[in-house]
Amino acid sequence: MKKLLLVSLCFLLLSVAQVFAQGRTVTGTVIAKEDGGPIPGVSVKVKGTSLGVITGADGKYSIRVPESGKVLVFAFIGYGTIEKPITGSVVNATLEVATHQLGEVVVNTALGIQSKADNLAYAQQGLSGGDLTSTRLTDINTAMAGKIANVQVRTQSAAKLGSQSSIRIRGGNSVSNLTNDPLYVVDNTPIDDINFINMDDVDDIQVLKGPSAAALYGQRGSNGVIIITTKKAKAGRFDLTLTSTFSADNVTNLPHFQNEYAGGSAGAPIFQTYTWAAGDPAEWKALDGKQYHQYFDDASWGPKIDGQEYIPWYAWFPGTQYSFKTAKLTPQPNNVRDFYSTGINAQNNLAFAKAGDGYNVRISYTNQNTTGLLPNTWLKRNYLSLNSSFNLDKHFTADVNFNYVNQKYQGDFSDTYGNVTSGSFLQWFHRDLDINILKELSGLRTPYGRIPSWNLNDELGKPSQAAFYGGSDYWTNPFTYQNLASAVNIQDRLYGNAGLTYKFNSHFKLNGNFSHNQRNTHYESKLPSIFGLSTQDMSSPLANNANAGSRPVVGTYRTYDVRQVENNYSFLASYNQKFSDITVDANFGGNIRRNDYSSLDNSTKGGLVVPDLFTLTNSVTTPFSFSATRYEKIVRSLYGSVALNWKDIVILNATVRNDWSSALPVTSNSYLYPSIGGSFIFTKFVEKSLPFISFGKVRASWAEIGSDVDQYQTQLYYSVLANQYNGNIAMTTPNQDVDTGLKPALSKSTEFGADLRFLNDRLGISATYYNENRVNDIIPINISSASGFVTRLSNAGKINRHGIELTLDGYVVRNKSFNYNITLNVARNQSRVDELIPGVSNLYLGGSDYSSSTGAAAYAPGVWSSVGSGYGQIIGRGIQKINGQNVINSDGTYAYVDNTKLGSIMPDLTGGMINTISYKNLSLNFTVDFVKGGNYFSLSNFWGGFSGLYDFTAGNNDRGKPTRDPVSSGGGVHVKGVDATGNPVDTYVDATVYYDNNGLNKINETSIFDLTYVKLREINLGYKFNTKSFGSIGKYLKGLQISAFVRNPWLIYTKNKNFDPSELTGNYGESGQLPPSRTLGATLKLGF
Amino acid sequence: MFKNIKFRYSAIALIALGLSSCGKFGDVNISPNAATTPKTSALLTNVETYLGSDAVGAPSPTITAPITGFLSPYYTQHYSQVQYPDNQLYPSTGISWDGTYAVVLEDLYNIIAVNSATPNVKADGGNSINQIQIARILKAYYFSILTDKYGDVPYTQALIKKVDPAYDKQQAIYTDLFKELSSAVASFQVGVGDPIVGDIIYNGDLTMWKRFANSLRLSLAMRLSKVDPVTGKAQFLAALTDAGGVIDNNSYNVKLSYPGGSFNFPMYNLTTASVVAISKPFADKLNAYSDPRVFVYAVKNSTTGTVSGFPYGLNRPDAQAFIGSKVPYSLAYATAYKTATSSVYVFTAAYVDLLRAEGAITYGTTDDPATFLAKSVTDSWAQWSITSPAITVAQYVVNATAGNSGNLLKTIQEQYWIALWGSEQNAYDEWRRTGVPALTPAPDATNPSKTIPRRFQYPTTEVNYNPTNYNAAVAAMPYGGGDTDNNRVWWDK
Repeated sequence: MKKLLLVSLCFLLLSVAQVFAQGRTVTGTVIAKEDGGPIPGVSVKVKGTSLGVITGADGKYSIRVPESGKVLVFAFIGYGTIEKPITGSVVNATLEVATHQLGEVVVNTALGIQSKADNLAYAQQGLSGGDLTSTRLTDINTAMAGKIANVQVRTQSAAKLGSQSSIRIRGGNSVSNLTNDPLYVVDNTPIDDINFINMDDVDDIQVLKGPSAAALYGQRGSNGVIIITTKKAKAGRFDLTLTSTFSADNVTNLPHFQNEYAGGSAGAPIFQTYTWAAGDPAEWKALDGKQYHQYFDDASWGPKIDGQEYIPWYAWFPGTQYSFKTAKLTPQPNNVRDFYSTGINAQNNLAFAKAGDGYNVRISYTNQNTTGLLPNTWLKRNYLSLNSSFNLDKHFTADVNFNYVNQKYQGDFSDTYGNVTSGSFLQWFHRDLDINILKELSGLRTPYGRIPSWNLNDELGKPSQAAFYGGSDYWTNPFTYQNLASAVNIQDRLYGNAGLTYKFNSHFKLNGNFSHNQRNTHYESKLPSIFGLSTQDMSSPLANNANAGSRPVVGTYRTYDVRQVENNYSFLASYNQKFSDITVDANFGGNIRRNDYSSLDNSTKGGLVVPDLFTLTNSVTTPFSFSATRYEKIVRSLYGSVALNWKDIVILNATVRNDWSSALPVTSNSYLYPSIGGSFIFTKFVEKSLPFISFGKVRASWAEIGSDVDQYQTQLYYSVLANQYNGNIAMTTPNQDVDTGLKPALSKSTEFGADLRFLNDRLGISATYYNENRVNDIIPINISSASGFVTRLSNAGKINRHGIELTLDGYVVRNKSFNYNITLNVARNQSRVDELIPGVSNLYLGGSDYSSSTGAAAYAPGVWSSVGSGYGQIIGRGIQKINGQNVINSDGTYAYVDNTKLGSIMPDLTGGMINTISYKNLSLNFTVDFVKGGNYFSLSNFWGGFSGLYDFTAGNNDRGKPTRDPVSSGGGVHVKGVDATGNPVDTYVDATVYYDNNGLNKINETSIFDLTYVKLREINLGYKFNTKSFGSIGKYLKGLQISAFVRNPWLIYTKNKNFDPSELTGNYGESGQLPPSRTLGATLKLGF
Repeated sequence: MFKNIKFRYSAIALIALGLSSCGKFGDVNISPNAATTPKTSALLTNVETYLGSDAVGAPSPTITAPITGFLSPYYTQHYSQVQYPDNQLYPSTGISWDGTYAVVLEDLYNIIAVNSATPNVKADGGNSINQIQIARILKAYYFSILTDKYGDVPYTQALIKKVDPAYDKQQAIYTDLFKELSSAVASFQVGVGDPIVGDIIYNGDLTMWKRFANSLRLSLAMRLSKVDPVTGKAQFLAALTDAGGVIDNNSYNVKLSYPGGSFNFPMYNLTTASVVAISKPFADKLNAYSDPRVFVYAVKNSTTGTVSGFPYGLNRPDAQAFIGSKVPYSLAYATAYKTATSSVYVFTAAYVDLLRAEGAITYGTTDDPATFLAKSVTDSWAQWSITSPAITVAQYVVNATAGNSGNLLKTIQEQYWIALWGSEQNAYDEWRRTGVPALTPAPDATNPSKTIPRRFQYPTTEVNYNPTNYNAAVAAMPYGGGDTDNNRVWWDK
């Protein structure tokens, strides 16, 4: 990266006049030590003179050297400087990347304006080159896990194809949103979905964390900005690279299930005896007098698994080797694990790059093919990109970047409550099920054409009414569902930019840029009619997948199309000039952003008339379900920045930006916000006194950022509801009231920091403190609904976030052939809600997908912002306490209190450690990341305890007797606490009562867990061959690199090992999510 | 050079353009997806589509498929939960009123506001004055449900966008409801102006709205029988003698006949979900009186030809144990009465008959209690299309009276319990007022008092968003106590 940027910089210096003098001519080639390739743009000077030339595209130079010239000095930024005596007419040089000339590193800052990293007045951290490519990471966010201070990354299960990980920078900025996504900018084009960034093209990532860094991006930068620069051709070279990765995913940490008790109800009797009766199928006589457990209850409170003879669910149906035969009830400890397949991923990239005189072009194509961990799921992606730049003449340069991505995946990955696979396994399941038989019988149908389920419906507790028998009570066979239900999502994305720069002279240039980002999504889901025939209950997950609220689904077809476009038209005038000791950098620019969106979503209703004919007109009920919406929004902006640099010792920056947003009231749609910052590099002043300090800087900055709202929020709208009632249209008053005096929101941030490096850069430390106040946040404030509205969108609230970020970088070993570098980062962020609106102290942010719509039963807690205690409080039903002791009711159950604060979703500390080890051509990298403090709610624990799936619901109690035995015979759960008057209570409670009615069904507190974890995220081992030694092959093969990697190798520590807190689905916590996985893979990279 | 000039000009032009017109966006921020002014007839339709929810026992009108959300029919022990008992164990938590205030009441408020403030809108949806009266009646109806559920609720400061409305005493609310109902009835302009549009209940028949208003007033007046019989009697007589009449015939019933398709009968889901059964105490009573309605209210067992109830108030282990015991039980609503296009009976002639029967005794009207008791049975059976019952009305009345040891008043009051199946909110109100029949609380109740709830606890949103007024209301509870479910509303003395 460094080399690349610097190459382009240096081309700017090509205009330096070449001075010829008398003497001899010396020629030579300058090559890079890293890959043996020629380096263009290297300055070659005759020592002690002002004579100099620059190497050409092929790395060659030719210089006239006067008689007095004895030594040549070769210099290239980022590569250090070497001197070579002129021993003849040919002097070749090999330059090595200067590992520690950090001060020379030039980075992209806001709007692509480049700056020396050392001159920045705020915290900005980046990743480039090897940090990115080694493990072939899945996406930008995952690449940052554990690597950037104060960036909390939440990855997702590899089973969730097409989903993206989420990140939160500095804990997030908004008081009212659970998601705080930063802005992603790829080569000047803002992007909203990181799945469409080809990691093979990424050259550099810069993270602008706070308002000071992101001020020029305005409102969209208030949650931080991630600037992604893609690879460009290297000057004077033709490169062809082929990169192939092959990897496999396997399920890792699953919860600890109990394997002692089979499926069935919490009530007795646990086994029932089947008695054949007239009218029952004749074959069932074979089962007469045999026992079976309660299939219809999707819990595991059934009989103890003892190898006894019983009638399994599949024995009732003809046509299999198991028909009408009993089986032995045996434990199935791995049934959940064995459900999942091995995911396979193959990814190939071919890239051509060439740069010559006045142009550079890079074309890259990637093909990705993945089969998922869930049966019958897959993902295919194609990325095609072009990155080019042309000098049209002396003044004009044109840049064209273009990316086309096509993504297609199949599968339903909504891992929420009611998910037919993980949702069932973790919350509602029979622990005794033989998964191989489920798989084997996934094509089985009852004589009446239904899909028989392990969860057979059985209204009266016995298999009766054979004609109806065989459907599922709640859950169908997960294999059958995976095989027959389809959901295909196709997305086509086109994004890129075209720019024209006019260089007036070496000081002043003007750039005009147009960027376009378009996504077209097409979605289709098909649920065959047989599921309707085989499903009995409305609360069935199958019902949830379609028209909830009507009757069970008898087949569904849904299709939707979305078109999203964002266009940006911008200009930027740049001025750069050095006046003796002071360098001035000034920029002035403007932007018009326009977002357009339209969608059309249709679904059949009430089932399909012709079975399995998936068309909208085949809907049982007409009109079928449809919705269509569209919007547009425009934001216009003008901005400018000035940087003054005095001898690289004192640097001052200032920016100002004004936005006009179409979404705000006309009277207050303009908002202006400035920023100012300064750095003082004191290295020179301590060179003598403190020689061990190789670099020292202190910095301070202050910034404001303004924000607006979404479109159409400033007045009440009455939409015509989708359905007519007997030909009458219906409209309703919206539930959100509008504050007509809405103003833009403002964040004000102050930041201080220091960057120090010691012992010839062997050790570095960077520290930042920030304090940010957000005022007038535009929040849908919950109000008393007796007002007629549930919320009011208004300027309210003050939220403060402050924290520290520390990065420590050091070499354990540093020498020519062996290097071991550790980068450690730790951050602490604290959010505090100072004020909402008068009289309101809590603001609801969201909650689990299973909360009772009536509020009648507190199934799951919500996440709130609370004045005094901050953002992200989990509030729900807790256990009543007296002096810290649990209060126990007379029946041994817990007394509870609603609206109890149960913890915070925000961690106290986040951080990570990057280890980079290299020995000659061998390299080893591994990253650890951790989170300390914070909490999450597990819906799976909540329901899975209720339904007796987890190990804690079985086993022995402290009296040495099975917990599930009656209290009278020594069983039961030991409960200690106090009664309502504070007197001690020490008792045993029936396990079913404990887990059914009190422990988990009603009380959230027992399913709140600690977010703390330590995780080894990735390990990568690579070897770079010296192709030169390959003889004639080496002539063509410029590079050969192989590497092997593991992602998610080890969840080193977490308190509740049943779930992986680094991969939670919801911000509030876990909800029946797909399992964590480990990826093993290898990459081969060939360069020609 | 030419290029230079061009660039300079364009840059200057761009800046100038930017500064002068940056803040002007025209119609960009006007949504193309929705209207800025509501159509009042469409608001009325919307409100009326929700009328069935409270009636079938959902805690809020916006819950239109209420199976798991029922409250009042568990309190009156009409239903038992079979698979996942929660609400029948009295979970003791706040119940949201968002659907009542922010949806139906705000829509009604808007109908009145639009018709009052903008005369030009009059033509839209029918005569403005008449639209206003219908909205007032429905508003009174929904406020009566609210205050009967919770007790003191925001009333005078409600619906006007005040974020922290104060609570009004239930007595004051009742006083205003009587005034609103009588004033609405008196203000109708029958036959004047355009006919009402969007009325899916009475199709714009204003005489019917008068009957509903008077009948509602009867029921509210009867609710004061213990706490303020003087007012109660006065209002009762005034309503009864109003020229508009009351609902004294099934054809005047307030009922929502579902078209099916996008709007299904709320209990339609029960066709396939075995989660709600008729409760044992209720089924036993119907069976004891040989009441033919038992075959309407529950599924007849195909082998025995009878209906049997599911034990009431069991927790999950106990309920599962009962299922496991294979004792038959009957799911709620006979199949023919829970089709997609079945009707919900919101306010019926049978109910008005019973009010008049009781009014004759309690408020000393000139009606004959026995006649109206018998009429209520006749009307109720007819309402459910019971055409050839195995028992005569007269014999049935004998059975029911015997079941109450000859106590006529108690017999009438028990009939509320039986006849108001499907008008669950009214059934719950009457049970609380009369205490008839005496019901045994759920044996596995989880609320602290272990008794049948006498009111809904205020929504938790009020605790959080309107704390001052909430606390004041709790402090001013008519009979002391806190915001609990066993505390009583003002009229439930």
